[in-house]
Amino acid sequence: MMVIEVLRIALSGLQSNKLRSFLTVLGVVIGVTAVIVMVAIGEGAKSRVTENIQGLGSNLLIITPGREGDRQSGFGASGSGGAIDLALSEYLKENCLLCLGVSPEASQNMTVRGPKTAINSSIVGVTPDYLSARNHSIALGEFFTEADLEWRRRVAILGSSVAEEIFPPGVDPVGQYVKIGNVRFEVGGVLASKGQSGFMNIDDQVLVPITTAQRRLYRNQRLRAIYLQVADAKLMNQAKAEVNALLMEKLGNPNAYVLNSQADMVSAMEDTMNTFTLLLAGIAGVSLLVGGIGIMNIMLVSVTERVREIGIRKAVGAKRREILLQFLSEAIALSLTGGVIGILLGIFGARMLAHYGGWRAIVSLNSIILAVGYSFCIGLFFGVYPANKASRLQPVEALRHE
Amino acid sequence: MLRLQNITKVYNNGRISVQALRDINFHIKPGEFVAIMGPSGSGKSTLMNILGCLDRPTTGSYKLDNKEVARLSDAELAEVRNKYIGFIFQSFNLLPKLSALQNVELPLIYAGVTGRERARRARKALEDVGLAERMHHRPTELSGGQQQRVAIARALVNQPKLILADEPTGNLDSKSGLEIMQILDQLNKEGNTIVMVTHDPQVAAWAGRLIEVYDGCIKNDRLQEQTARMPAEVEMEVEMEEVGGQ
Repeated sequence: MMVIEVLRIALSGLQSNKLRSFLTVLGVVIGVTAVIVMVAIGEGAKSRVTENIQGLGSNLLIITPGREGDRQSGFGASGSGGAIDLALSEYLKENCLLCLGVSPEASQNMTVRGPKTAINSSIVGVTPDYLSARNHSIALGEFFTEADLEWRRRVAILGSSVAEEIFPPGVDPVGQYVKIGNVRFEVGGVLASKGQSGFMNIDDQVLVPITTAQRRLYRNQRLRAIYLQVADAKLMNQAKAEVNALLMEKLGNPNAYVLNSQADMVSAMEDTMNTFTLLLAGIAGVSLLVGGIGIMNIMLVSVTERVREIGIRKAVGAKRREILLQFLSEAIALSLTGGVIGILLGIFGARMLAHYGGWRAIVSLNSIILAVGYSFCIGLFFGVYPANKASRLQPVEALRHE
Repeated sequence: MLRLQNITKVYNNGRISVQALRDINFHIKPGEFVAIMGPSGSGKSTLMNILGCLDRPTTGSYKLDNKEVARLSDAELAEVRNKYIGFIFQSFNLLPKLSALQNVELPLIYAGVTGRERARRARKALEDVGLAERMHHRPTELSGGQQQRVAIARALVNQPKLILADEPTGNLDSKSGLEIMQILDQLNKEGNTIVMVTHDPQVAAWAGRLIEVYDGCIKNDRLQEQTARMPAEVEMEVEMEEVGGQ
């Protein structure tokens, strides 16, 4: 007997009990929807983070303080040659052959007071290289210069949101004065708006010469990071080795610093985000499992209810295999239907999250294939037992059943 | 056509074993119309199940159409039921959610007949029992007599060698019962072999041979003249009408 015939019988069996079929399917629908949405959120977060890191440029090396280096600088050991500080940055600039640009960075949260209001903002100390190294551009005025850096001039470049908040509308901030902490700074320019970028929003930051910041604002020599631009992305490995050698020579301790390339950070981030996605999918998968048990439950009830039908079918010539196939395909049809509806709802849910919640949610083809495959397996796994039970019924006993 | 030799059937329920059939021997020729009678518990239902290949004898040989079927596997028995045997049950045993036509198609589905051929044969079988107008009704929308006719159409649709009827008039009012017996009689006259279990002597009288079963043994096996008689209740009703009319 053809499989199609059995499938048709199975489908009409489900149709004749619509409400029950619907409720059974619901469990799988919820499970699959949850899996799709959760994976979409995970993938979305991953892609955003990855994109941000990639936005830094593929030829970037990043030096951050290591566990020990941080402590040393905290005790004022800077200048002794043991910490990530401006001297180190200068040293790398002079000695690193493969480095195109070296840009140190430090930051601290402080109050910025303008004519309109005062807000708390991240004050980032940088060098003039920063603008080109990080692909930012100036909307108004000009960025500060090497001379400003050298003379520790009090020049501030405002992020666009900061400028909007602390200056009344219609006022050109360039040339005006703002107070950062207790220090007066002249506004040198305003950055072009870029929105969320990296872990911080550039629009919410204020850039000042790092020398000025260290002397007048932070009162310490600590750097958050040194960014190195390598001349050619193909030379990343050589550059990394070179910088590593220089750092070892200067700091003498591999635990004093962490040297990462952009690719390292991307892969580290991806690992983290994959774990995160897996966790979300796992939680959602549990609800799919519960849906599967629902299918088994209903199929068992259905077999008990339809003993007589099974007897009649066997009496007119149905074989064990055909009864097995009929009940198995009912279970699989239930779970697959649930899977398909769940996918559609999941895509819809992910879109809604993206649209109204501002989340990035990416429904990948993989998660759809996974959901379909998983719900098929759930139907198969939880359908086998009831179907087997049905197929083993002896026709005489089944016909006697009321 | 079919031959039973030394058939026994023992049911084991835990420690207690019940001997339902002991040493049954008989032979049915093609074209015969046989009635099997006996009180309840006599083993006639067990005998019927074995004849219908729904169950296997404990010992003995059962040859159907010169083929030994007593020791076949479940799947082989299913095929025998499908190809050689047509069942008519007391309680009709139609699938309630299928139309008359779909019910009649059932044996054809399992025989692997598809598409238009299947629908054509099922339709023909229903027309033969006079239900051309009711093909798309569900069993619940049909009277008892009509349901039993659907069951007959289902039994006949695969052109079986043997028709087995288990109390075919048992759940019917007497007029419908009479119709059903007329159809069976007609089928027998067309050459079909029919074995029928009944406890009603009036119904048994339609058959040309009567086998009486008692305590798992054949007590009596004789040929008789086929007489078309109404099932018991009808005669009573008719008598009462006559009494009332006087």
